[in-house]
Amino acid sequence: MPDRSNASEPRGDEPPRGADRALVRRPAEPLAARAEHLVILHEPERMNLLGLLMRGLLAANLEDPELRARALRLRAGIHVRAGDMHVTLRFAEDGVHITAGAEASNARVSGDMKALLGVVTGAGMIGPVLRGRVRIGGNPFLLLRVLPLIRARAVHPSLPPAEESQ
Amino acid sequence: MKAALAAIVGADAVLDAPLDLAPYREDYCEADPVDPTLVVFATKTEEVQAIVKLCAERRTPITPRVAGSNVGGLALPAPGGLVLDLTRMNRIVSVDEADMYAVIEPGVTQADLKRHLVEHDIPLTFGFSLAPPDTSVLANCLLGGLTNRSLKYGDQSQWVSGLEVVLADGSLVRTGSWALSDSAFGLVPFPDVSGLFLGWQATTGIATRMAFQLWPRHRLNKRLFVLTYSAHGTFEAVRRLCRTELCDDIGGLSWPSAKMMMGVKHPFPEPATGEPTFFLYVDLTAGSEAEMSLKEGALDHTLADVRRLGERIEEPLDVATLLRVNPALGAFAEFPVELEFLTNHGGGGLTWIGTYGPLSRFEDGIAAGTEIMVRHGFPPLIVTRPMRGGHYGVLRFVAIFDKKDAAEIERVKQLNLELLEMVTAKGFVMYKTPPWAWEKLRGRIDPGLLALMERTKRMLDPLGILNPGKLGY
Repeated sequence: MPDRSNASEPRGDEPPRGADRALVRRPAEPLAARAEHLVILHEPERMNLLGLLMRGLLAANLEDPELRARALRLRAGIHVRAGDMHVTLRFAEDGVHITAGAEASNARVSGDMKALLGVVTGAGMIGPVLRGRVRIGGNPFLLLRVLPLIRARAVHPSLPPAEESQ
Repeated sequence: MKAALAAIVGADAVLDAPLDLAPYREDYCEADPVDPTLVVFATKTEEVQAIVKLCAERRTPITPRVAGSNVGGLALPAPGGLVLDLTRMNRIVSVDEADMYAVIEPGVTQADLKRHLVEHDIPLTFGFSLAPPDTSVLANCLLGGLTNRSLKYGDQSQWVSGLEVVLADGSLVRTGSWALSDSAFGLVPFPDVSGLFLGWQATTGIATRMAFQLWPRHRLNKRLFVLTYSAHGTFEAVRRLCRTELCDDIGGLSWPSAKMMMGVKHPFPEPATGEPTFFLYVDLTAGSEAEMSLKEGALDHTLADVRRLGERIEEPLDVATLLRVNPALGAFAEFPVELEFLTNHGGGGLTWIGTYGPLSRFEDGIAAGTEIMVRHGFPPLIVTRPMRGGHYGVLRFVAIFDKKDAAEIERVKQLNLELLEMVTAKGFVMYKTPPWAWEKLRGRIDPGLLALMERTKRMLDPLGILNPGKLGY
């Protein structure tokens, strides 16, 4: 298989090998501008759809100083499974690393795609868990701490009213 | 020539400086650039007539162009020829709300017409191609392009209800009911000669106005994404949904498109473990909540039937939900849209083998096309859509490339050549056929058709000045 370079691959100096940061973090940058770089996607060209969706969610949420501080305080691994797609979120000192596959984790959450999207868009966790559409494992308190970090926060401003969208 | 053109349109409407001509020498695709000698802007039909007449007198090739967003080199000039830029002929002449048609000039873009309908509170709409918002509506109709309403109404040439065309001698013709009536309601009942200009890539005449059909804009509109895991499951669902006659559109995109939209410029050519391989976006419209609910129920029911065949298909996801999760997916929230991952990716190159063909053969075509694209090192970016109620569909293999990389251009040419061979062998027919592909297909096209086309061309453009180099002329 050809080894195609990816334009969003790291530029070379600071980020871990195989990880994706659009820019190298610099101390003088304002915090908000750094949020996107705190989400580190490993092997972006091979990342599954779930991982890419998680990156978008985390990058948006980490713009919020409070959520960013909360994320940077966490030291844990979360395994997320949607259907047959797996990713592991590792909360570390330098940001949130997203890796495809199931790696060692402290907590797990799984379900079908629609149910998991429901959780992150505000349907809550308890109902889907009780109905068996979402399953959790490991440390539930950890999941409760992580949930705000992966919850979609607002409707995107580009979303038009339904009648204008055709 | 420059002075003669300036006498028709004014000196400021004629360009000859190399810097001004540069944008006209290429489009998105891999076709070799061609320098025009001049570019001339027209603002009205009479000017087009005079320009064409002048070109005929001087045997100067003339190529009409609007946005230049073609991916087949169809608006590239012939060597020694001039480009007729029609962007300034951008009037929406009229919208007949009662009889549901619009009369527009070639420079009217998708964005222009949509804005006009919305701003004037006209409860009608049309269809949008996946081309950028500044793309000409008329050009897409003339070339038989598709839109997000092609499932219901077919390719856009089928929406044309009248044409005003400047012929190669500068004379003018009107087709359809327009030839007699002040209403361009349709191409019936006279003998229809619109076909002399539809699909001919401006080699038989230059359309200066077009009447085309608009459709009711419903109060409610919902776009739902359906994630699927096999080509068979995908197109079994598509075929069944077509027969419900409830969907406005069932667009399909293969897995690389979502990744590219979310910032991965060159996804690995094979899908990741366990991820969906196709994304259908299903448009439903309704006049009431009850009607929408019925349609959604029918969609769920149809998908459940396909699941019972052992196919894995996710439940429909509202585009609003996906947008909340990742705004990058907003490209599919509203049409027309500039798909930046295709048109603004740094390398600048975009090409495709776009075909119309039988829906029953889509799985076969996709399997073969995927193998070819992966073997050539390209992610299998595939676009599909059933058309005209499901009687046929579009199957398109898309590749982006670096226009500055000669080796990659060569690779793209090889890719397209192999894809063309494959789709043709399977009964698909390439639309907006670029010159190189026409030459490859010529030997397999019915000789009777080719002979009739040749006679038609000679009759309508005996001097061969109209967009030379296209369709083998």
